[in-house]
Amino acid sequence: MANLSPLRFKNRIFYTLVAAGGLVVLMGLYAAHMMETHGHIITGMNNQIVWGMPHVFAIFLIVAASGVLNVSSIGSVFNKPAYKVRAPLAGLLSIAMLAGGLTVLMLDLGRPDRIIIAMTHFNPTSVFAWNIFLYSGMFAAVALYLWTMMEKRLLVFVWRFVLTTGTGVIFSFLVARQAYGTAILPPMFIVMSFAWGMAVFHVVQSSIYEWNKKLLDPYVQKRMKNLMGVLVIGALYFVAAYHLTNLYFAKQTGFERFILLDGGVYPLVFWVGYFLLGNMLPLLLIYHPALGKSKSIVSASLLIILGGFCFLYVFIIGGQAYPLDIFPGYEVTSSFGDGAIGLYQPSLPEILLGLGGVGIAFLITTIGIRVLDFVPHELPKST
Amino acid sequence: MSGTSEQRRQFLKTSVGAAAVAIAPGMLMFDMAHGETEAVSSKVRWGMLINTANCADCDKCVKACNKENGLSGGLSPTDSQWIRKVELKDLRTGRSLALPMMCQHCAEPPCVDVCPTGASFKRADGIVLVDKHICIGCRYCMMACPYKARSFVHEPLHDQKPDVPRGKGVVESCTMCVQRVDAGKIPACAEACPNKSILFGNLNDPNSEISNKMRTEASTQVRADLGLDTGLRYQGI
Amino acid sequence: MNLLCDQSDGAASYSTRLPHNGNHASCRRALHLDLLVTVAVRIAMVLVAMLCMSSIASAAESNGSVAGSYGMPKLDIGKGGHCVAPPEWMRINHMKVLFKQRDETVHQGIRGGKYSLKNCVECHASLSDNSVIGRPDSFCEGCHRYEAVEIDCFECHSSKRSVALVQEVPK
Repeated sequence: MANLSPLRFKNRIFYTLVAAGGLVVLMGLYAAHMMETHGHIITGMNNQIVWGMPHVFAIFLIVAASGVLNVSSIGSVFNKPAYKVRAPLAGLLSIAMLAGGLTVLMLDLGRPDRIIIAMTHFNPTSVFAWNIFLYSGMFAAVALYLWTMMEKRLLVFVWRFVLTTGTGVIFSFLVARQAYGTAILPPMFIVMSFAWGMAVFHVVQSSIYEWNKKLLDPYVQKRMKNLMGVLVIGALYFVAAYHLTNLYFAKQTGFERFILLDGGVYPLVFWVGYFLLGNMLPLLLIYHPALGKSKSIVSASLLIILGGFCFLYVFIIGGQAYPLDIFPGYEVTSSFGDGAIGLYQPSLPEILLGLGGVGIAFLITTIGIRVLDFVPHELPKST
Repeated sequence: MSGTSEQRRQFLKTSVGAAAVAIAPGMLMFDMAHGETEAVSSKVRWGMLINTANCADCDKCVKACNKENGLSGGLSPTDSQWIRKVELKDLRTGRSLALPMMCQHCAEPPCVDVCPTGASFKRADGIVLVDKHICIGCRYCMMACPYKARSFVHEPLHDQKPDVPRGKGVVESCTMCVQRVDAGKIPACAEACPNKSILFGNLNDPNSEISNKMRTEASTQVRADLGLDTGLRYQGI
Repeated sequence: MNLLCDQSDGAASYSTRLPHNGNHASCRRALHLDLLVTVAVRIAMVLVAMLCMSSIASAAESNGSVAGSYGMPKLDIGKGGHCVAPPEWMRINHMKVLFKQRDETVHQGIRGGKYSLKNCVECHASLSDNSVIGRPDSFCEGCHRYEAVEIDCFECHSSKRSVALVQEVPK
């Protein structure tokens, strides 16, 4: 059954997908143009919630981009042949999602026309400045990895750990915010990257195989889904540790109550979106003996992705909504939102911009698969 | 012969004198035309001491800041506020007080550490500023500031003050009225306070009024636990 | 120029489309001439189009105060008089001196030097509307529009002199 020539999508599906993806990208670019012309006043972001939906999308894409390479690493660094054949597709997805996430971040800037300044003026103490090198270096490393037919594996392996750590410390280094400023965030993001990356990989691989009438060896499928389950449990463990530790500190109790209990939309999104739909239901779909076939796995993967977005919404936006504790022991009010929960309503331009990033990742993946040899060449069943 | 030499000497003296008189004003004017101030240095550290005893029911400092810096004075969540009055109430004892809160001009500013381009920077004389020419509007400094001192400009601005350029898409905060300080004046909030509760001065000068007061009277930094060594201190909290 | 009419029989598709009497020598000649004419006509068309477009563009740009399509715009130089540097030098170097001055002022607090954006505006703002932008002959906008170089300064900096020399008509 080993098919050695590059697989091709049916033309109709391909052009439909490209058209749909292109449309989403165009809408995202239009949203960015509106934001640049009229300013961020047309978004829901304000002086209390300074990072909004675009950042939720962007951070998901960037974290998943580094995590999807786990599929390659398992094949190479951990020497599992069933994963080796998936390494090229994982590499393509990594580049695609990184491009999408970074585009959203750059277009959300107040002055995106000045992005070159980020390269000519460099503050060595800033995580953002490090990340510019880490993210662009990641492109180069993965491109090199693909070009050299999966050599340079260790470089990619190490680089993406550093990159995901860099994403985690963006928040870890914020000493004054109760939601952040903790060292658990980098490892939490790393395990989450594995889970989200695996989920994205599953969705993409399943779609490709479905549309090309390819069959995934049930044994490989089982191994991959079990791994995804383990990663989801691992990520959930870190989130639990984060919240339980916070709950222990008297000064953090107010914040935890807000996020987990009475903060309105945030506990709702956390418990229903992240915990139930994003963790419990996928784990059921993965591990229940009667389930665990293709449909369940794709559903589980989609739910994990949804859970990732929900987690980031609570983490990024909920973390900003809770007011800074500038005067411990005092109740404060002011004209600038001191002591008050920040109000945030996601706006259409923000959501379109975020979706535009997903569209870019989608387009790069679709066109890449069509044009080059990224679809996994399954191993003969004898092994 | 000596008469002629005497005349010559006299002539030379007068002509040199006349030449000197003619050139001197030119030299002076050259200095004035070239009247650049010197670069600021860390010999000076500007700071403020704020006495909160008389702050209730007054917001003249806020109004003065808005007028000096061309702020709209609007209070919506997207309007810039460089200084704000904060009302506090002790949860345990019920004591109420109020104080003005603005950029604390820390010696170890978190906003400077996180800025990717170095637009957020600390000037040699301690004033923390945003170089709006290189700010890309990422808002990371706003996430990092423990005092919520920074504002992001959400819409196009018009009619800026010539001495205070501000624009859409960049972050801004209290500049300690650097345009006034550099001209030898004090910040607008300090000048406007009817009780003289905001005392501005050089922290590095042991004989300045502010240094004397800090040495003899109690004052605290807000969020002193963060170890930022703020340039502003408060009395009465 | 590619030889489209091949000596071999293989290159049949091109040779069958063009007129020739089967003789390869005349085929080559015929093709060359044809191609030459085609290419020449095409180049001529492109040149004409370019000329038309540029004259349309300059006609759209000119506001009656331009001496010829390629003349420099006439500017309202405000108070005018003796600038801090010769105009020709300024035209070439004003950005360089402004970049340097802005860093000195913002980062080191050096003020009152020879070059200063605020002082440019004080002097050169139009005497009719106190601004250096907003009209086609405004001091900054005139040349910048002509050269199609975007001015970023006045998104943040005031484009008006601080003390109005002319009473503005209230809107």
